[in-house]
Amino acid sequence: MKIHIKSAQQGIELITLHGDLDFHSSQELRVELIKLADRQASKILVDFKKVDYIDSSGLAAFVELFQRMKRYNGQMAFFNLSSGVRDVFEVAKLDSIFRLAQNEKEATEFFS
Amino acid sequence: MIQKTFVIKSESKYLKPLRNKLKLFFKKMRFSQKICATFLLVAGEACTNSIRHAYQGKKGHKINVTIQVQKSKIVFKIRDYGKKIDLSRVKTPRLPRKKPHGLGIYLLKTMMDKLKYNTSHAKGNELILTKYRKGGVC
Repeated sequence: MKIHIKSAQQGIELITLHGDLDFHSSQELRVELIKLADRQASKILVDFKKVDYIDSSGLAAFVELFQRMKRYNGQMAFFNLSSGVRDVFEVAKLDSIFRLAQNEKEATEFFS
Repeated sequence: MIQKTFVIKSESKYLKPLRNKLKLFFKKMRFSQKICATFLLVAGEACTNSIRHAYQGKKGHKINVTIQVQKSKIVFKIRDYGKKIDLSRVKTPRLPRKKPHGLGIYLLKTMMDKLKYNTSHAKGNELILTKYRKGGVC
């Protein structure tokens, strides 16, 4: 999995993921997400356009980030999820705690 | 009945190659895209459980993934030879999960119609997952 993180406008950290998010790759992602939470990134956007597969380990990496960000009132939103990836979030009922947007513009609006 | 077994070693880097082989098999079986995605996830979750819990992260051990395609159902049998899983400790989490663990077992239970552990083996575990084919469609 390729993980690209860049600081965008309005204090937003934009994470672009490329590849499958499974038990193997989620360990690397988890390390990167913890680094962001450790420096108290206040707004995180995640682009799932190039992610075709996510399993419970991938979901768990984001649940952990969610917990850590909650401590300092950070916010995050996801966008460009394929129907398969969105299904996994929905089956796990995580669509009720994560903000899932159609595109980057809609995801950014969650922060305003 | 069509039966096919895939064998992987207990290491997370083998999960993706397994999914690639399964994709080809599911395509051959003419499963719908949605059910194919479900089965890929289910097989991955079950193997991840074997790697994490039965083998406790130890590499190089065998995991067999057997798929039986029958007229009325599709059965997955995931066999490992690691530490026995204590069924009494496998709980279904309450959702939405606000802790980062326990989602795998929930996904398995939710996405398949039946989940059973065959505890009769002298060594290891066999997880049996069944999906019934409603009207022969899957």
